[in-house]
Parts: sequence; C-alpha cells; structure tokens
Amino acid sequence: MKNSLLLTLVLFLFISCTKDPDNDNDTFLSGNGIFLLNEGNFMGGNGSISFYSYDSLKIFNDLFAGINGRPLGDVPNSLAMTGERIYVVVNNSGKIEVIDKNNLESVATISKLKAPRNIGIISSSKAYVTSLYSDSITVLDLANNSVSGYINIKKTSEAIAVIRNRAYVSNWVGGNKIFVLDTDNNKVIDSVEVAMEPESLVIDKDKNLWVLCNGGWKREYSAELISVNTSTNEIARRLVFPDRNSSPSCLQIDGSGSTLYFLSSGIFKLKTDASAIPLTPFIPQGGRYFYKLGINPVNGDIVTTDAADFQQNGQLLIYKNNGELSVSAKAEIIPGMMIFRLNDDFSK
Amino acid sequence: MSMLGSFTVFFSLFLSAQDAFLDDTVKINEVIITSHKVNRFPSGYKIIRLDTTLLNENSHESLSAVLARNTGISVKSYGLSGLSTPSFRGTGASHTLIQWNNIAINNPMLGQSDISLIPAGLFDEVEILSGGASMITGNGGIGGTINVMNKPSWSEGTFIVLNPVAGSFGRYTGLAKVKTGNSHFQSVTRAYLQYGKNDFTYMNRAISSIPVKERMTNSESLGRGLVQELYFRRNRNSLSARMWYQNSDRNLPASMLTGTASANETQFDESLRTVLNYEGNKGWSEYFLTASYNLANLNYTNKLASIYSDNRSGSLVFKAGFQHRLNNFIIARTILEDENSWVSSVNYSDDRMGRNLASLTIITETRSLGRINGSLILKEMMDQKKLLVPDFSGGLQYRLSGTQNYYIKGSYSRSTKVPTMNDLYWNPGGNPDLKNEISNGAELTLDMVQKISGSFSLKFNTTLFSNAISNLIQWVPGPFTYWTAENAGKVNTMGAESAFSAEYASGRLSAKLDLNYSLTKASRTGSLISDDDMKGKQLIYIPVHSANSSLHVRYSRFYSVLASSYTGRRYTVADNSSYLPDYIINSITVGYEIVKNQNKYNIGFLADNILNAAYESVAWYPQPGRSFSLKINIQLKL
Repeated sequence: MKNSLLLTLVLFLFISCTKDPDNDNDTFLSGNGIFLLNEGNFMGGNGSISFYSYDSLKIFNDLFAGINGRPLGDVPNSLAMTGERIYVVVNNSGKIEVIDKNNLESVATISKLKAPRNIGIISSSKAYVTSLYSDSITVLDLANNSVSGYINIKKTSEAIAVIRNRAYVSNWVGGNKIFVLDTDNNKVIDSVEVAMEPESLVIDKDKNLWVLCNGGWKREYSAELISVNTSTNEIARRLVFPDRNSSPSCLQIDGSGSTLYFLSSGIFKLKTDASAIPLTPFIPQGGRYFYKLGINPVNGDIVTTDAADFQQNGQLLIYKNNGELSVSAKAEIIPGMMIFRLNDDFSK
Repeated sequence: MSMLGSFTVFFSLFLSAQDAFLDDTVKINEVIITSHKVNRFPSGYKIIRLDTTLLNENSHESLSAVLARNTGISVKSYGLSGLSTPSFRGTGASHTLIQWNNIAINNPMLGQSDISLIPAGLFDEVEILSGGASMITGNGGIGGTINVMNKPSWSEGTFIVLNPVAGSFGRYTGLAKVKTGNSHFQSVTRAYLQYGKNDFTYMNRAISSIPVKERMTNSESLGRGLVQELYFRRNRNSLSARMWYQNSDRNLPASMLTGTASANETQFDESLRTVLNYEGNKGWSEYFLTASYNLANLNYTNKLASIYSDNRSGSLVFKAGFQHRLNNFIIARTILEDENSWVSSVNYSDDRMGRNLASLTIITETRSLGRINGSLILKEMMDQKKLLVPDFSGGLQYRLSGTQNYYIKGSYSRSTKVPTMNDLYWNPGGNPDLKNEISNGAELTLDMVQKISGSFSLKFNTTLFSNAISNLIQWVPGPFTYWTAENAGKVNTMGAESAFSAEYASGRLSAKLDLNYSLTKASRTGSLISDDDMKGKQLIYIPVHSANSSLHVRYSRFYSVLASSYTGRRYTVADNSSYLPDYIINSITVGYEIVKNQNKYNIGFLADNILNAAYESVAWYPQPGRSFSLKINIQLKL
C-alpha cells in the first residue's frame, strides 16, 4: 500500500512536471510562422506576442510575458526583425523591447522614447524610430541597443520605408508630406507633398515608393494612393479613391513587389500598374473588423487580423492568395501588426 | 401632522441627535435608515445615510475613500491624486448621479463625477439611493444616486471647529468651520485646504520579472474648498442659500507601464456651485422652490502629446415641488425640474453646445395604512423639446410583525438616462442619433430592527436586486480611424446586499459593530458582434464579492475604531482571462477626547492599511501601503 502510494505520488509529480511539447518555445519558435503583436487595451498593459506556426498550424499566445515573467507593455504597435533580433515598438510604454527571435527572451529594453510608432531598419547597426508626438526621428544604435541621436523633421512621424541610403518617413496626423532622410549622415534632404494623412508606405519592384493617404478623419479630402519615384523624389502617379468616405489603411505589397493590398472595410488588391482603385474589395470584411494586414512574401498568403470589438480576443485570419479562408486562429486582444519568419525550407 | 411638519420633526430630531457641537458623546458610524414612519422617501425603497459623525471622522479623506470603506459601492481609483469614480450594483460611473443638496453635479461632458475631489469634511450627510429611489431626487441615476448634503442645525451661539491632519507621504489637510446663529438664522462657513506629495513607494511589477521597489512621482495635489451656508426660518417656512467653491491642482500619476515615458499629465479642476432654496407650507400642503447655478472648468494637460484641453461647463437648474396630503392615508407630490446645461470645449465642433432636460415627477404614496404601504412614481422627461417614454416605479412595504420593526419591502422601476454631451457631440465620434439607456430593475429588502434591551440593539437588512440596462452606450471602433458612440448592447446585473449592526451602550462603555457584504453579478447579454466571448462574463472592474466591517469602542474618554474592507477579484479584460487579485485593507484609529463645558478637544492617531497590503484598484496604478495620520479636532463655543 505504501509503495503504491509512493508510486502514485512519483507519477503525479512526473506528470505535473511534464511540458506539453507544443509549449517548448525554442522548438516551435525556430520554425516557420508569423509573429503577431496583440496591442491589448489602451492602459491595460495586456499587449502581447503570438506566434502562428506554419509547421504545426497552431497559434501560441501570450509568449513574451510567459517567457520573460513581465508584461510586454502598453500598446505594442509594430515590430521588425533583423539578424537574430526582433524589435518590438511599445508605443504607450515609450520603449523598444529587443528580443531574441529564436526564444523571445528579452535582450535589452530601449526606454524613454516619446510615443514611438514604427521602426525602420537601416543596417545591422542602425535603425530609425518614428514618433506620434515628437518632432524628431530617433536614431538607434543596434549594436549597443541605445539611442545614438535624433533627426529633427519638425513634424510628427508615422510610417517609414527604407531603400538604398534613403529613408522615407510620413507625417501622418494632420500632415501631407513625406520626408526624405539621408541615412548615411542622418539628415533630412528632401520632402514630397503627397495628400492628406499619409498612413503607410511600401516599396515596389521598380523601387517606387507607394504612399497610402487616408484623407484625414474629417473626410474633407479623398483618400489617395500615390507612387513616388525614389530617384527623383517626384510623384509618378496618383490614384484617387472614388468614395470620399473611404478611409483606407495598412498598405502592403507582395513578395514580388508587383501587387498592392490595403484595408478599407475589406481587403483590396491591385497591381502596381493599375489605372484605378478597385470599386469592390477582393475579400469583403463581412461581420468582422479587419484591423491590420500582412502578405506572406513567399506564398502570397493574405494575413489579416479581426479585432472584434477591441475589448475581447481577436483572430488571426489567413486567406490563400485566391481569397479562400484557410486559417482562423484565436489570438489576443486587438491583434495588429505582424512579421513573417520563414526559413529557407518554407515551401509555397 | 402635515408631511412637512413630520419632516421637520424628523430632521430636527435627527440633526439634534448628531449635532457635533452640542453633543458630548462621539456618535459612531453610518446610520442606515431602514424604516421610519416619517420619511421623505416613499415606502418600498432602500435609503442609506452616512452621517456627520462618520464624515467628521474621515474629514481628511475624500468621498471616494469614505464610500469605498463604508458602503457596498464599488469605487475605481487611479491612486492618491488620480481620478475616482463610483459604481452601483454593477452599473457604470455615468449611471451614478452625483448631487449636492439635490442638484446634479455630474460633469455634463462625461456624465460622471470625480469623487476624489469631494472632501468628506465639507458636508453633513451623504444620502445613497438605489433603484427607483433615484427617480425622486433627480434624472439619470439608473444605477443610483449619491447626494452630499449640507444641513442646518438650529443651535444658539457661535462655534468654531479646527481640524488639522498630518499624515504619511507628505499629506496634510486642514478644515476650519465657523457656525453662528440662533433659532431663526444660521450661518456656517467651512474652509478646506489639502496638500499631498503622495510620494509613496510601491513594487513595480511591469518592468522586471521580480517586482522593483519604486517611489511614486508626478502625484502631487493641492486642493482648496469653501462652503458658505445661510439659513433663515420663520414659523414653518425656511430659506437657504448655499455656495461651494473648490479647486484642485494636481499631477496625474503615471501607470507602472508608462513610468519612464510619463507624459507629465496635470489637471486643474475648478467649480462654483450655488443653490437657493425656499420651503414653505400651509395646512396639509407644502412646497419648495430651488434655483441653482453652477460653473465648472477642467483643464487637462499632457505635455508629451502636446494636449492642452480647456473645457468649461455650466448649468442653470430650477426645481419646484408641491406636496399635498389628500387625506389621512394618501400623499401626492409633484416635482418639476428644468436643467439647462452647456459645454464649451475645443473637442466639440461648435464652440458652445447646450442642452435642456426637463422633467415632471408625480409621486403618490400611502401612509399609515396598517401594515401595508405603497407608492407609485411617474416621471415624464423632455430632452431638447422631445418627450420621452415615461418612466415609472412602484414600491410596496409590509410590516411583518405588529409589534416589531420587521419589514419586507420591494420595488420595480423603469428609468431612463439620456446620453452625455460627449456621447452626442464629441468630435470626432459623437453620435447625435444615440438612443437613451433604459433600466428595468427590481429589488426586495428585508429589514429588521430589534431592541434586545435598553442598552443593546441589533439591526439587519438584506436586499436582493436585479437590473437590466438596454441600449448601453459604448465607444466602439467605426469605419474610420476613430471610435464612435453606439448603443452597443445590454447589461444584466443581479446580486444581494446585507448589513448587520449591533450597538451597545452602558455607563462609560459604548460599542458598535457594523458588517456589510455585497454580491454583484454583472454581465453583458447583447452585443454588436457575433461570437461574442464577453457574453455572460463578469464586467470588468466589478467585484463579485465585497465586504467591510467596523468596530467602534469607546470607554470614557478613550475611543478606538477597527475597520476592514475586502474587495474581491476584479477582472480587467472582457473575457475574464486576467484579473486583479482580491485585497483586504485594515485600519485602526485610537484617540482621546476631552469635553469641557461645550468645548471638545480630540486627538486621534490612525494607522491605515496596517498589514501593508499591496493592491491596485485600477490595473497598473498602485495604491499606498501602510500609512499613519495624526488628527486633531478642536471644537470651541465662543
């Protein structure tokens, strides 16, 4: 009897201490998948990172806090990956969390930033960070994970795109300009007047900059999709949205650099040589609330997030490039920006 | 005896019993009015009153702290100098009507009031009404009403009260009161000054896996207040004029999450409130006329975001009431109210937005009908010249025993709350097409008062309640890049409240024990989205369980108060996947009081949160740990 009891106890302890293989962070994080930021509620401190594994077809939530024993912060807004690091911009906590992309362990925290929004990787040792409230772009030293300087653009900033030794930065809230920065000497060298509130930027296969201007919340102006020649910094084409009430966001481009996608109460798709904005969405929103968008650069998957009512857990939705819904996975509160981690073995 | 006569006798008795100037004993704790033959509230409703003694004991505290420690009202607080809002029985802060002497003082923009700015020491009584009782004194309190009141005491002579308090974290308050007059005229002046550095230490759990000890910054506060009351009475008629000026200049503490990126937020609140009231009666009729003019400024600054928000609001209120005793059993009352409010804000599309809300309330009640009495309330509101569907409430009371004060009483109410000015006009996102929020609620109360002996008595009451709020207004993401106000669902609340009180007094020893418990289940039942994970889940920041207790003991000149309050788990996300843990706050006060002639000298020492509980009322906003205060109260008759 005593031995049976002992055996039961040992078995219980063994079972209790056994980890579910799915939760072995090192294993699943090294595979192919999508790192997804969940913004969480404003002032709720429940921002988090999820990982959708293309290998196991499962989503793993609340990874940062589980691994690092502390919250990620308030309203993580964007993220970027370079080398072995992921840089998570935590807007309302005024910081950037530098984490190891293989195990999500915190490497460093760059703090005391003013309302940081997005990060543009300039090189392995330099990055620019835009700001919702500051008139300056923050220059980061990625080797030391510290702030190395500021570039005063005299406006607040939002989106950033980098090509060659140029960084293009948009002045979003109430603005209508794109600032051109020389990344060699960290100076503003030019600006381009586009349309009201340039919200997102991408670079296409021909090295043109595409600017999505949402027209401003007052709806006094129509939204526009504008292409800028990055050699001359002049506007090449303007596509005006036919409906003044359109409020598009989240411009993305596929891996070939020839097809643009954006959100506007649905997912819209158009070729870079299209002559007009499509009148109907490629994928209608239906009863969901499409919040952010990403395009798998290898297989063309259209990945979006459904933020539901912004109070409860949302969803990660993956559509095949023909528009067929293939994955619907429960994420966390206000699932937002994402990046793809695709190894060489990732197949289309 | 006419209603007003009965009324006057009741309040005279009540006030004389609690008059701090004349009484040489320290009255203790909250008074719960469970049933009285004479009451200005009709039969069937539950009314709670916090009396002068309790407010005097806590003169250095805000109304927020007093409610949190002594009632079942759930209070959400952002820390010592931060915003604080009340919630009744699972409803929202904007569903709570805050009144000063029966005049609404909710900010018309948000529809709520920051009760951390209301110093307990400036008032004589707090009246707490829930359910249909809220319909009697004002409009829109579909959760409940908190009415802070100044009341006359018709004692002869001049009295001065000085009440300085010094405490931990650089907190100082001073209250001075001068009362003079005779049986026909009274003047009461109260001045209040409060300063707090509020630099307590706390454990920051946001920046490291092991909490780090930090000191609170950007939490300094400075408040000043002045209340002037003038009362005249002749025969059975009375005239009163009251004025309350207050300002508060404070830094808003940052959350643990944003500490290093603090926006250095500050807020300046300033208000001037006036109310003129005349009460008269003739035969079996009585009436009142009230006029009130109020101004409020709220300046919010966020240096990081370059926000300098200047908001001004005001209201002009007229109220008239007429009551007539139709016969020995039935009383009819009519109350007409017209509230004109306006807001001037950079956040509205027009420089100045106004609104008019008028109401007609008819109350019929029976009195002295043996063991059963009842009441019926009908209310018609007119919002911006548009008549609303009438509200109503019915109450019944049954005396269980012919000889004992055992009562069972219940009520059913349908009441309306119109949207706030922000809900309608905020730019962007305000929605002028919003429907009114509608509450359908019922409550059933058992009241028992038992006198065991000449020196020992017991009181007990328990209430079951249920409330369904439809057309709930919430700000939800819209098709553009901003949120909009929508009627976004339904909320059901239900629960129970129990209170037990035991009082003993014999010779030089007196003691009183109070126990309160609240059970609140509040969940959303309707939604704008499909697959709503929130349906049926407890609303965030509404604890299912909360309780408080206090034991007052006095022997000769020595007194002590042991108080505890328990706040249960509060969910912080809508699907209930994370929560703030429950906590208990214990405090002890010991003091010594000398009464000489009509002068009193009282010194007390308070140790609050004696077990140094680390807790948060709002996630990531730490509350202070153990603290100490030295309180002096000198009352002199000149």
